[in-house]
Amino acid sequence: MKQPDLRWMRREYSLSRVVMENTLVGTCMGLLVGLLLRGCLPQLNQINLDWVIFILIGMIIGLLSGFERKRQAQMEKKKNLLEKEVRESRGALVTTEDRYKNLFDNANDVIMVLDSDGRFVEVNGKFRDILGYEAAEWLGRSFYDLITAACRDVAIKNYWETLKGGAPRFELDAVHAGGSTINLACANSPVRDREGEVIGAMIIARDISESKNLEELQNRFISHASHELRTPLTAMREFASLLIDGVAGELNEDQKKYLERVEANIDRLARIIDNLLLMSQAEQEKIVLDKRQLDFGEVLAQVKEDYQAAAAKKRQDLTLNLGEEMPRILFDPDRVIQVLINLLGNAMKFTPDGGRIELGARRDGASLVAWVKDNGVGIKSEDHERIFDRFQQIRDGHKFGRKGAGLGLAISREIIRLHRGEMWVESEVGQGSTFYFSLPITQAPKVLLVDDDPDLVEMYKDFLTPYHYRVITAYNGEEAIRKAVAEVPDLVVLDIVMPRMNGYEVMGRLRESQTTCGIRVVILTGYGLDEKRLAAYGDRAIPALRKPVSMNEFVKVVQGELEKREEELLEGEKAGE
Amino acid sequence: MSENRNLVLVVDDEEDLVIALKARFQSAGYEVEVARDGLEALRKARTLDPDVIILDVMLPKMDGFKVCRMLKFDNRYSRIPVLMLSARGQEVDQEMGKKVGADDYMVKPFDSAKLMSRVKELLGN
Repeated sequence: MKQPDLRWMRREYSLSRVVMENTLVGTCMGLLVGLLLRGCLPQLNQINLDWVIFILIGMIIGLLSGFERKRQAQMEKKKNLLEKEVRESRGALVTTEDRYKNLFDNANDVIMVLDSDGRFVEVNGKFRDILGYEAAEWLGRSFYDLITAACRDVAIKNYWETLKGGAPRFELDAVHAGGSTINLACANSPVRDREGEVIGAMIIARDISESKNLEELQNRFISHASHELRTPLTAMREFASLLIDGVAGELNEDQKKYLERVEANIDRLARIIDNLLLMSQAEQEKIVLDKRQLDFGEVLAQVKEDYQAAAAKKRQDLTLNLGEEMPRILFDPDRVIQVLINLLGNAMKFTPDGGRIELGARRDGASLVAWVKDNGVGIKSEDHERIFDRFQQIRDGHKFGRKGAGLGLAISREIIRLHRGEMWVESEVGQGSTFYFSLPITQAPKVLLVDDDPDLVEMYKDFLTPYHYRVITAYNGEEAIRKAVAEVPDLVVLDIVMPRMNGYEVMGRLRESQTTCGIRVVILTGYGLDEKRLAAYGDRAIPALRKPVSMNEFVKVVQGELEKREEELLEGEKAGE
Repeated sequence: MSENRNLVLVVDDEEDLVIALKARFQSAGYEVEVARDGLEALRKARTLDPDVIILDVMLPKMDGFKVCRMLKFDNRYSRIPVLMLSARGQEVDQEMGKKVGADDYMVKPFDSAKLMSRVKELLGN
């Protein structure tokens, strides 16, 4: 049962009471005034109109004043209520601010607020905990003083992006108060004023030194272990091979056969170690390809030659099927041979004695497609992708181990992917398998080195020797332009300060021409950079190397720019199709 | 024939591998000298004038890269072919090998037949 709401009655009651009281008082007042005005001479039997008027006026005044009092009371109440509300919300505001301050100071990550020049405006408590500095000593100082010199470019680039409204994530190394290096994973976000203008940036940085160290430790461990494992294997293999070759006296057939098994298993173990090492490098993106311009057909023939004997032992028919026109392409022979050996090893293992295995390659448009085909047991279609998955294999290591596909396929696909190719399988159970991979048909990149000091040009050339680029040189601006137009290199490494025509002018001229405007440029300079002139070269960032430049830095920048150029060319091809 | 036998200097600190390589080269008709650390290698290379050097990378006293560089940058010995053997299969090593002027480079464990044919090639040059 719902209770009737009685509040309105109370309110009406209180309202009418106030009015009644006032009306009563008003009436009495009217009477009193009437009496006074009559000079206190009452003629009680006579009902005078005056009386009525006085009483009425009194009543009206009373009524009005009653309403007025009521209104004032209500206003008073409202005011009190409002004041109370304001008081309460002010309290709430204080606690919200406290809460945010708390969050800011006790966050797990370092939070830094910087102005548009990259100077510290505010930092939280973690700043001291992780970096070891007192916050006060850094306020007003530049963020770039906090980080290692090597990371400055990364930091500046990302800071600019943030000021433009972006929210980049990146890693950099900061210098701890104690001198050690702290690896930070940073997330930037712009700080805006009331109008929405970006006036600075907030950087949330997480200390990832520990995981970095672990990664490094793991890498070192694997590299070390692989070395330690190889040494005894080498001696074992050599002794087995000496015995097989009859250096210590003739062996009978069985003795020889068994020793050959020993040798084959040592080779297998060595390959597993290779794959382990490669995988650890792949996980840390440390595989560096040593690409060369070679005849792929020759490489394939060599691999076939090496495995002919092993196939013959299983009475397997190993054949080579090469397309008519085999282009010379750019690839890392050691790595691609490793892929071929992995595929061939699997094929031989899963093909019964007396089976057929074919190594082949042909040109297919802008790519070269190679394959290893067998008529062995085949692979279920639901496993066609899974066999390339290294995590799957690690988890089901045992199962896959029995099936035979080890880490080899994951590594092989990774190597081909690094070559910007693809790897896939076509197979049916009982019908055999064909593993394919493609490699793009590309030429060795061409690099133009420009410096007016011939010794420096020679040195830069030496830096690049191991990478098999086509290197051309120029010793002044005019020569540089002439050669750039004639040869259209992929990259120009350009000194800025040269007599007659300086590097900026060379860049300008390169940009004007249709043929040369796509060439990437790396700047060499002993002085500060004229940012405006660099910007005039286009929307592309121009990397600058400060002299004297170290080999590692030089090679890293050149390789990075050539990769970008390759990507641009590939995109251009795709767009052109 | 015997005075024309080629001299191989095998440099490795792994005794087992030294024994095996020695047997291998001797059975193939080579004369073999052995050095077990970098300094000994340098000394023997200079005094014995070998026809080819099989040089390990990780050696006591002076590593193989340094030994190779000191020989290759010295006009008197730079013509002696050097084949480097390394248990490390990393790119850096091969690059280093090239940089210090090694004539060939093989990763351990190696195929003996390949090693022998490469040595033959180096001697042919």
